[in-house]
Amino acid sequence: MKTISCYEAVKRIFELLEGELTRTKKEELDGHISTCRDCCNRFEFEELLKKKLQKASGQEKTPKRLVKRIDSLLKSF
Amino acid sequence: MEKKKEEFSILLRNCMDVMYRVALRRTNEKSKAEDLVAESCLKAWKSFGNLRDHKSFKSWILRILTNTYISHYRKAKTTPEPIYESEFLKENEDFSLFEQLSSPFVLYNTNPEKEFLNKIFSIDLKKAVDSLPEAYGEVVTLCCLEDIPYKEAAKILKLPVGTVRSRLHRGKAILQKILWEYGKERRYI
Ligand SMILES: [Zn+2]
Repeated sequence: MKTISCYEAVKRIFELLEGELTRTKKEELDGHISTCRDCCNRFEFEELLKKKLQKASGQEKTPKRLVKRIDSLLKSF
Repeated sequence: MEKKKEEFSILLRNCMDVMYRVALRRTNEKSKAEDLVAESCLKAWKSFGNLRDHKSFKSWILRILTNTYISHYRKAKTTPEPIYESEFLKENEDFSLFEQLSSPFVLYNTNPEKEFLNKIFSIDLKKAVDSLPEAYGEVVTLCCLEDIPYKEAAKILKLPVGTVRSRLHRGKAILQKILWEYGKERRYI
């Protein structure tokens, strides 16, 4: 397996979190993270930040009034 | 006809929340977001027959929503976009909250990065996303918050994939810089 630099690892951490990392690249990243504490911490941080951001913005659900409006719109089609 | 309508309803229902959130982040106003979603649904129904692959319904309808927003709502916007000096953008395009927090100057506890994330309020996170310049906010919303792949986001926004990638990178850096500033204001750091 190819070894990668911390710079490359950080780049891949972001790609991984966005679901854009290929399997081989992920395995290389996993290999790096398992031996590099800095990158491991970085990964945990970015992952948690993303989760928090998603939670903070994902709380917004479609208001009932809009659901009703769409329902009647659908009936009119 | 009835079958088509039922299919449309099911697909639509699965996308309603994401449509509403994207609309809300664009318009910044609940009633306008609702109008935008309703109008997009109407448009989508009219061209539903042209959609070949139902698996791409979500990116298809988000593209309709984006186009509708651009043609109607953006024009009607009365409040100007928050102005970000290009200086600010340039200076912070590689900003990393992690690097700031884990720098040796912030040594008040053993894990300042996690401490920071535990303290930061949901409302600040939301405010930070809302205050991103539109070009970055739309990409961060789709790719980071709604987990839409780059390729699909590129289709929705009619941008090259490379632009989506670079805007996402910069957008996240700016977002982290904004959070860093909030953290300082609230004395988390
Ligand atoms: Zn490393």
